[in-house]
Amino acid sequence: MVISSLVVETTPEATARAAGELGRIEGVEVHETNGCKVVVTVEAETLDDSHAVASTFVGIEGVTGINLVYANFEDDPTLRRAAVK
Amino acid sequence: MDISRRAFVKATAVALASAAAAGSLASMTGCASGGQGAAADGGGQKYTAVCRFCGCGCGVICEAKDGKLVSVTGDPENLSNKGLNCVKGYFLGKILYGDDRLTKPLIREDKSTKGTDEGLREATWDEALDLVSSKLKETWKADKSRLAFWLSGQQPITEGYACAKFIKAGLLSNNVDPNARLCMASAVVGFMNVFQTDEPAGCYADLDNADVFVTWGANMAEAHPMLYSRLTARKLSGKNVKHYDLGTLRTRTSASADTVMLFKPNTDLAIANCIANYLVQNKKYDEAFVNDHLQFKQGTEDIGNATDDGYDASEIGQKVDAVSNITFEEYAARLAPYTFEYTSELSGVPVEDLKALAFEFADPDKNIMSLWTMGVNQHNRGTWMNHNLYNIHLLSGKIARPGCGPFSLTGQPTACGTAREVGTFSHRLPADLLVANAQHRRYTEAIWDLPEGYLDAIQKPGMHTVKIFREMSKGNIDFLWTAHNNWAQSMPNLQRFLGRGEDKKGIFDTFIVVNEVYPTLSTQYADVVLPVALWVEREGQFGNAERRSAVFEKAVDPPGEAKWDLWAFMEVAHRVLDGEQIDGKDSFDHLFGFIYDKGAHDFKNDSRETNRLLWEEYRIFSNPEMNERAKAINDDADGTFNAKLKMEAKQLAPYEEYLAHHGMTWPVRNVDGKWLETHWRFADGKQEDGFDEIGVAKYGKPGLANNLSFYKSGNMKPSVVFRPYEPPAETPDEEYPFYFCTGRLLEHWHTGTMTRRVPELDRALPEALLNIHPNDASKLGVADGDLVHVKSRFGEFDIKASTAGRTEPQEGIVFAPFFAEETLVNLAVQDTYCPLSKEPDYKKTCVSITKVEG
Repeated sequence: MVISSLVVETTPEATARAAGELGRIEGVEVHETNGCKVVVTVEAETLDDSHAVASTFVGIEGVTGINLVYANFEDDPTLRRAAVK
Repeated sequence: MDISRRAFVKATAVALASAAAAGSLASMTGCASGGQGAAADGGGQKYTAVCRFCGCGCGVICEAKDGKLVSVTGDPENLSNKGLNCVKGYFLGKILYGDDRLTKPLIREDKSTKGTDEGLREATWDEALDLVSSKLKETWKADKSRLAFWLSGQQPITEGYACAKFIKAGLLSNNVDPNARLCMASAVVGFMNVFQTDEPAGCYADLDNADVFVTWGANMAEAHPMLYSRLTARKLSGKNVKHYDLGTLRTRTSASADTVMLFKPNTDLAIANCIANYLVQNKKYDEAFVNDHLQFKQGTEDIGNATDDGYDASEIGQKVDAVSNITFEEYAARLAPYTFEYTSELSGVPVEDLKALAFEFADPDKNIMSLWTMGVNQHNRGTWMNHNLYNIHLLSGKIARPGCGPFSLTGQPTACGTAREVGTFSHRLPADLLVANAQHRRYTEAIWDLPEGYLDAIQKPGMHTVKIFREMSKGNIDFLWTAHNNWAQSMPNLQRFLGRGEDKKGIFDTFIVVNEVYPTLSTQYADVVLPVALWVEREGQFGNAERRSAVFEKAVDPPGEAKWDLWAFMEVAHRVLDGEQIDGKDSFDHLFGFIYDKGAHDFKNDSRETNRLLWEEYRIFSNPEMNERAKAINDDADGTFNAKLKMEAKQLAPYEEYLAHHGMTWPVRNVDGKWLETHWRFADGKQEDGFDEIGVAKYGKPGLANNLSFYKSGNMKPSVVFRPYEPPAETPDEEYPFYFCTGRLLEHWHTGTMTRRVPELDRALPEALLNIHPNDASKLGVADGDLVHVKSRFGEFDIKASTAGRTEPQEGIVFAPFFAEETLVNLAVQDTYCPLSKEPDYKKTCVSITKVEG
């Protein structure tokens, strides 16, 4: 499982609504909001899957920025295969 | 991952993101920011690094475990990004592990296989290095005007420095240029002409304090995502912060703009002059600033276009750099034709929008930040447009103060740090020094311990990038070595340069060496491919657009037999210089004996110490007191040159400081034993607050307008150079009715060598599309998804059309990105370049478009 965390930025009036929508996405967990910033984690099988999930955030109304903070990919099976070669 | 490990990793993820958001969960775990040392759980080892993509230069922390990267974190201690990365950061680790990494040297026996996937066989390093060395030495001894090196704005600083030293002092050749010629050369010449020093006075922190943003031909949202994120954050958090987006097409960056000003190609020159004209005619300029700080000039005009091979040597080509002094009144008279009405008619931008932007510059209380990149630089008048942007910021005094200034964005992670700062340009020596300047050569000789006059052999600049490839296409280059670039896809006019025209000379005959990490179009034309380390597989340094130099530490080993580029360069250097002497001593040992043992075929020290030793020598260029002979030349102690060099203006700190601080912006000053960076150059104020206190005190004059002192400029006055509107190199006609513009999009960086190996990115943007206005598509009978044939005077390609693509061009303009090698749009792009900077204009090639039937 790849675990990553992001800070999602929103317009001031959209923060609560956007946080709600983010929390409903499979694999996404909202941990806190601070001003217009929403702290989330994404859990997905691979880095590619994680990126795919994070890339959907831009479609949420009021989201103005998606910032990746941390990505742990020690369990990404595609990278394990690459390392074995 | 077991449950406890997973819980720990997740807690770490939350804590780090919370810290980056200044939230309350930052203390959830002890595993926070990086630096060296074991992670809190005793797991992976952490290393400071800098992102490998784009020009932002964001800091990251890499974690390695069992010889493999396992996590990447935004580095909160790197002030360029303060812990945040864009979503491309997901793939920083993954770029190391593509299935087709090059792990063995490759040699091509049959030149007729060039341009195909075939023909390369595996070889040993010894065989490959002996072959490369013999070919280089043969060319060097026979006619060194027929050898060339093409380096990069992605080459780490110490590697670029060592290459420059080998080529300039070892081979006594100036036939070296970087791919930064394709992205930053117009900015460089602009900086040098205006300020006599290269690189901006401001910094990224200006993004957090501006009242008005003006983007000029810059799609920051896709090409500089983290900086754009700071721009949008400021727009949301500030009061009435405005954004004007100027360009020839709408992009994702236009989304945050209050006003989008779409102009006809090249009329950006007129728009800037129109703003200057308004300021001058209405006495809305900063009078004290003008009186204290500025001088006025005009230059050669009606300079034609550098389309033909003979342009540089032509009568006009020889005069393009000439300028003469004029008075402020004469400058005002030159601006007078650029009224709002005239400029609106010329540009297509409404008068009210031009006025709104001019009024912003006229407001003394507004902090304005102009940001520009390839739309300005890749321009047949790119240097002129850089001048015109500085002109409006200088007239209004809006420069070198927090939140305020003209800011040239770079296209690559170390276009500034390496290509520009260490001198891998054909006309440069390290630290802004020029081969044509005798005092600069003496200074360099002092640091490289060369006899006085030794570098006089390279006082004439070598071939710039386009000239290298033009000469190669004519069969005039016998040896070419390239590293950290993919020229067979990124160069313009590939129809000619890839030998696809009638004459198959050149590329097929030239012996080409390519250092690479993955197979590319360039390796398809290589006679030898050297497999090299990628990113954190060795230690290196990047220098980004805000003058921040930062180290990336070695975290993992390169795969297979891949090696550090610098090792390959050293191995060839000692073979080629075998038997040569400098001042009675072995040439190679004289130049590189302090880091390399040629008998042992290896560095004398580990990668950290090797980098430190190279940095410490390079650092002398900006710390002349470290070398007595250099200091005397810097001070012009014997009066030979009638001028001090002021090399401390770019002062760098000891290597360890960069590791300790996770990057520092130069000039870095030693104050009471502490090394302090400078955020706002030429601005008098406390050094500890980021101002240039030491520089102004040493060379400047305190008490001038806005507390600035431009101590590097001639007479301490930057030049406002009048540059008129002149049209694009070619304008649409019946045969070629559209302008074709190429550039970058978010998912794929440059030619996609790394990003297209990430399946998710490739899925997100699988192919290049031709963005076209719906009205133009309708006139051509073209529907979305139709294949069209695009043809210019230079070449042609096929591509699918889209009216709903990432960009929205105006009628008469089409856009396609250059990342897709299967489309290869640069086959058709002109190689016409700015006559001053020699940077090609990728934005305005005239083309025809026809639907491909069937």
